[in-house]
Amino acid sequence: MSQTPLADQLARISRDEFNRYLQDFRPVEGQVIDSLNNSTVGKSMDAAQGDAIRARESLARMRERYGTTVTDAQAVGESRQNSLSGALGTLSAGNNAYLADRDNREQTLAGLMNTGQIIRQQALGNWTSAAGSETQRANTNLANSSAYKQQKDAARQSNVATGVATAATIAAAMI
Amino acid sequence: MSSGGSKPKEVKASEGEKIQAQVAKDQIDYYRSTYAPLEKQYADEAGRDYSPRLSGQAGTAGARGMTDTLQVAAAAGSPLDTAALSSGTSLGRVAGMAEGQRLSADGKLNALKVGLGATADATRSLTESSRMQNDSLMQTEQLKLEEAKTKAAGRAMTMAAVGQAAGMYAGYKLPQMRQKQLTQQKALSEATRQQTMISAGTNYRGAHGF
Repeated sequence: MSQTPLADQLARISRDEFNRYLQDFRPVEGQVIDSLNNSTVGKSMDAAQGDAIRARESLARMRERYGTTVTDAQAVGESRQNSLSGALGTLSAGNNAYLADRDNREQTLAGLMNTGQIIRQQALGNWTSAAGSETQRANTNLANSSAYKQQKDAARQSNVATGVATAATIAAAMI
Repeated sequence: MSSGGSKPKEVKASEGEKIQAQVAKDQIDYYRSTYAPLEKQYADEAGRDYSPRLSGQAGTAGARGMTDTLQVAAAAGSPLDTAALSSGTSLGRVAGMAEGQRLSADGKLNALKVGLGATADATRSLTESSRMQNDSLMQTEQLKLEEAKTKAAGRAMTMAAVGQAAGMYAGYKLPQMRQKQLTQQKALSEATRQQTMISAGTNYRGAHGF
């Protein structure tokens, strides 16, 4: 039976906490790491095109409602300008999204670096502690083994000395 | 003769130790049943992506901002570069999506801090528990060794006493035996000498013809 049941239980509770991290939080780590591959560039460019179309459609509806028109020449110019601006707007949205993604990725990476460092510190801390226990145990075992051997040697020497002394006394008495 | 004192009694758990252990058990059980699930819920929800919602809000706000300009242009029948006008809305959407992504990642990273706090506590308690367990095991072995050492010393003292007694006995008994042996040898020598003389007398008489 263990001499330290509470310490044994403490060790088991500690292990359970590590297991809980593995079960509940390790998947989150995976999600954060996966999010590094997220890109909003495509969505942003699509959204920019959609915004341009909706703005043009909105203007057309208002002209209908107000009963106003533009000349053919103005319509051609307007269309050309819209195309150019639309293309530029889409590219601009993509470019901004790319920069925003990069900023986000760097911040996420920084957060993951902190997470990794904490995990590494804890791993090395646990390892250091276990190695310290191992060393302390090994040293104690070595010292105990040596003391036991010395003890046995001393007992044997004592027995021999007693035997020799007894024999010498008997021999002296016989002379 | 001294008996070396009374046998030590086993030190039982004190009332304080028992109460502390029970409180600790109650607390950890409560934490596990109440807060651990909440932490899991936090971890699950922290990753939610609000990018579409934030992007949509930016789009709505942008559209509302464009309305006046569109109305003026429509009423005046003048041409308008609607793509250029909507680019502000698009940039708002980009910012909304980026913010959503950031919020999602930050939420997950914050959840990880909670989990890592738990493992940091577990690291400390594991270190302490293994140290206490090892100390106890090593102390047990060292005490066994001390007991064996004391027993060996006792055996050596007994052996020395037995040897000394044997020597004393031999020192007393052997001279007596030696004396007795000498007396017996002397008596035997005397008997032998007398026998020799008798034998010699018989031979003498024979030489004179008796």
